[in-house]
Amino acid sequence: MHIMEGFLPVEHALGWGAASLPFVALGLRAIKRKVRENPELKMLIGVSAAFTFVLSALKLPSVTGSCSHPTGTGLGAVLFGPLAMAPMAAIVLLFQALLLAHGGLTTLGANIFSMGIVGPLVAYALFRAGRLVKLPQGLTLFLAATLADLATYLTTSLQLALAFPDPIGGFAASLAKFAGIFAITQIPLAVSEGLLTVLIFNVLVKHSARELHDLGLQPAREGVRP
Amino acid sequence: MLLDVYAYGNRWRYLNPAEKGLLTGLALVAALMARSPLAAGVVFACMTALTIGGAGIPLLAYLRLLLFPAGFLLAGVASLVVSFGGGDIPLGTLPWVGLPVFLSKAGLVQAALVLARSLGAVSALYFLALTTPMTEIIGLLRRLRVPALLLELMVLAYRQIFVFLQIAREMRTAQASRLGYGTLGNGFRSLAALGANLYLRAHQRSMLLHRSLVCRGYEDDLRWQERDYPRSTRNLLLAAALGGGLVVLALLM
Repeated sequence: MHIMEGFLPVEHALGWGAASLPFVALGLRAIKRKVRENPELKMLIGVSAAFTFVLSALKLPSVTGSCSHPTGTGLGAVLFGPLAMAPMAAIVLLFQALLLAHGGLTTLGANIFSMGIVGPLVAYALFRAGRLVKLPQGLTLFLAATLADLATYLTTSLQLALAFPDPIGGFAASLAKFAGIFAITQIPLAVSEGLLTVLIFNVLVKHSARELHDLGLQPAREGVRP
Repeated sequence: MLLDVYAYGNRWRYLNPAEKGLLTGLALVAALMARSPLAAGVVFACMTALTIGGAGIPLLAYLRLLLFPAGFLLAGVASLVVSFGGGDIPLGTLPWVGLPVFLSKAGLVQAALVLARSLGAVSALYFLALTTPMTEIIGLLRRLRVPALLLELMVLAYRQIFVFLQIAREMRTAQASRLGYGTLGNGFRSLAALGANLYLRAHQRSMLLHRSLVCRGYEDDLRWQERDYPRSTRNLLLAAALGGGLVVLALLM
């Protein structure tokens, strides 16, 4: 969920920007290191940022009648790893602000933090944990993508509640209000996105094992050389 | 559909991006620092007048754009205005939980300020997005010393967005004309096939891109030419004066 342009006060906008910056820098360094070993990766990451942008512009089939878009957070974290996601999210969010008027420049830091850092970390941790305890892949992916979306939405609510504590109930009451109101759109979205991620991944495993192997996710099939 | 339709064809397209960037930055600061809704309103009026009157963006298109953040604004402002368990004007009780809902006066004051600030900031964002193409914004970021790798990724991604949007639109039309979105289940299956195919295309495209670049002597970094813009001290001073004026106004009003 994107916080719109200008909604956060100055100190919060700057603070979240400062919190996101090290992750973006760290991600860039990781990408640089990997590109040195494998030069094609730069193109892949750049093009994948475009893919994420276009995916997030598609309308999800609606369950409740509200119009919602996938975030691509879970899928991206599983495909590219959580480190690469922070710079990618920075690019995608900047494009969304400037091309779709979705999100904003002053709230870029806060949005990177919720969608490019917290969400991917949750997705990736759950994905690895699921593999470790050998849960079925579909279930693991569903949990990873759904909970990543929920974590993102809770982070956003937290950011809003920190910026605008309730005059009577304080931070906790404000968190309950923001989380409660945005739950109407965000919880169905999380479930839809979880489903979509599993389905996309199934198609990918079936038809493009080689491409997934490039990313180190699937063992290459016999006789297929990457 | 995308805002940069206007960015490539408006009256201020060939102004130096540094001037537009400076004004946008200062206007954003002014909108966020505004102490009263009136001050933020002045920022909004000013940036809107420049976008429509100066750059010549059609009024109707601009108004439609202003509706984009309406959903978030409505929900966000509603959260600020209501309070549970205590407040000034009782509204009723929440169904199921039986919690009394109140309208709070402090919340209303805060909501008005946040609403005005957001609109002011949005008008500044639109000013930049509607007058300056992404390529020029990337050039501006380079002059601000943003790491080269990030800029390269941005250039790569920006070009491919339009390729993938086209592919996605065609796939969606093909699926829809075969009733692929007729039922909810089919809709999910179709969208998943679309997403997976799109990813596959992205992957193949990136490999082709790499190969074609290597053929042209690509080693480590991408280079591209940027347009030279006339440097006008007068415009830069005007932008600084207007932006600075808005900031001062925001702090005083």
